[in-house]
Amino acid sequence: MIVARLNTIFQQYFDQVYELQVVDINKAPEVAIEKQIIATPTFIKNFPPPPLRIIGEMNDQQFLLEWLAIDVSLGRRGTDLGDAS
Amino acid sequence: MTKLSAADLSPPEKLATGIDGFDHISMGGLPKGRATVVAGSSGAGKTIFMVELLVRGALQFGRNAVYVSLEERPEDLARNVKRFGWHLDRLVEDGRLWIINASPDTEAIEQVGQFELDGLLVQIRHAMKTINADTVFIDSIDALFNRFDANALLRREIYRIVDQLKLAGATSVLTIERVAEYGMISRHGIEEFVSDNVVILRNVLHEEKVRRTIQILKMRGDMHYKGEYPFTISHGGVSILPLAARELKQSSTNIRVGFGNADLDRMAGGGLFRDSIILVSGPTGCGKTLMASTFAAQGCRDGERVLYLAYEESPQQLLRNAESWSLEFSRWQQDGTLRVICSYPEAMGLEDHLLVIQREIETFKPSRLIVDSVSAMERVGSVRYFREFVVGLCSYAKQQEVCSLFTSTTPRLSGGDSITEAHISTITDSIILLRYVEIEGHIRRGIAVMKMRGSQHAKQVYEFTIDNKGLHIARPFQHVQNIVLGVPSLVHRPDGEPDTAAIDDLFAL
Repeated sequence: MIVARLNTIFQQYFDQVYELQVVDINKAPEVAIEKQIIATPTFIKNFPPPPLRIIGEMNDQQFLLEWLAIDVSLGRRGTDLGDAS
Repeated sequence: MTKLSAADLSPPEKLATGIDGFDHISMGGLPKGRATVVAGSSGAGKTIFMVELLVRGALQFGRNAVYVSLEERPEDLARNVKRFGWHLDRLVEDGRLWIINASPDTEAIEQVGQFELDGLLVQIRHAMKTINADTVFIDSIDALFNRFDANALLRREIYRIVDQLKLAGATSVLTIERVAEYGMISRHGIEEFVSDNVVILRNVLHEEKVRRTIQILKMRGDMHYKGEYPFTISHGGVSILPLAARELKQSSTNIRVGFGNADLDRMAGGGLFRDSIILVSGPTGCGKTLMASTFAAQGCRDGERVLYLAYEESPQQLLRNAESWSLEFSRWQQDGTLRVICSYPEAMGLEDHLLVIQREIETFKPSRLIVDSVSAMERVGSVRYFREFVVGLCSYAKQQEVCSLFTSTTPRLSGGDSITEAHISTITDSIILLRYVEIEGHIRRGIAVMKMRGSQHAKQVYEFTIDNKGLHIARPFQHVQNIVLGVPSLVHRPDGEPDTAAIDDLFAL
């Protein structure tokens, strides 16, 4: 559900030029250790810098947009994004 | 109906920690397979206590551990505890410790909606499995509350983590921060639902001295000692001084040792018991240090090791005095039979003094100990702490079977009560009183054996003199009474004969 929500946002604003990797830490605990994941779900933005993290259900779309610095008026923007778990 | 098996009902097994005194006050250590909360204000020593638990657990008892650092970065933690001789890096290399770095990183974290702490749980589980660990340390829970703004959610999640650890059979220790030393245990009330076992560390400023104490508030379903016990943090880590908890179960012996003066041995009914504690009390200048030195010298002559702790004199003074009584202190010191330690009572707190003394006894292994004077320690702390110090010292000396002589300076020249005597006279096995006796304008010295546990002893007050050969005990005083009380007066019977019976009465205990 969260992944779907993110994909919707990214497809809409990033013109599908993005990479979203989904990791189930229960199956890949080494990723949790490497990325120092405490909370689930955690969304990590690797690119463009600076790296940022969001934890929680991410149910506030307006907030997500602001936080990802997406200017809704521009409509789209090229960004590469990293892992979500 | 729920069935209760006998195994479920027995008190939890405890894991020995190896920490000085903790296994004693907790009656065995940490409850196995349970969670224990260590609560304390900032600077109370929580992290050091935790790290010592894990280091000793790993090295002494072969228990691998997972350490979750929520506050400090692992490198900082490892650096901070290195001064205690704890090498976390080596433990990690050897696969005995796994540190989970959950310290707040520099990345910005935004919280949008509900979350769970599964990341932490997954990491802990993975670590436990990888190095086969069964103990988990989390330091500190409060860091989570400071990082995320979701109290109810965090409480639920912490409860879930602790529950999961219990199900996995892990013994866990969690630290929580206290705002004040007394009153509410923690800000978020975590201990209420998380743990059956709560240990409180305190760091109280009292009379300009910091006093650390440890208290086991609860250990559900099992026995433990109650009350606050002083502890110190020194280069070896945490040391708890379970004073009142010490049991009087010392063995007792009939072997007698010499005091260093044949007459005094006779007064004491044939010498001192070798595991006894002797209190020598008297006003200043009356010959206490001489008594102590005589006692020390006999030990050295017998080829035993003697530890002399001086709190009122410098080593030079002490040696000069001893030489003036023809006691070869410098030679014995060079031989290694005599060890003299001089320090100011005010140099440290009473707990630290006690710790230093215990360490000295441990390493030097003396068969005689002299503390000259115990009463100098009264100045360092309050009466209560002084009492704990004296009790702790006495019971340690007894445990180690060190024949000990303590001196105590009476507050007035004429003698009289002192705090020291009030607190230790019942603990010591023998009491020797030194008193000034003024007879017809002359000051003379009197000595009496007031108490000699398990033995007959002379009941009279003897006169004694000091010259360049040391101590000389002469005849008992006659026609004089109330020497011990500090107001000697001559006694005459109606027929003019001196009344020694009056003095005898005085000492008929």
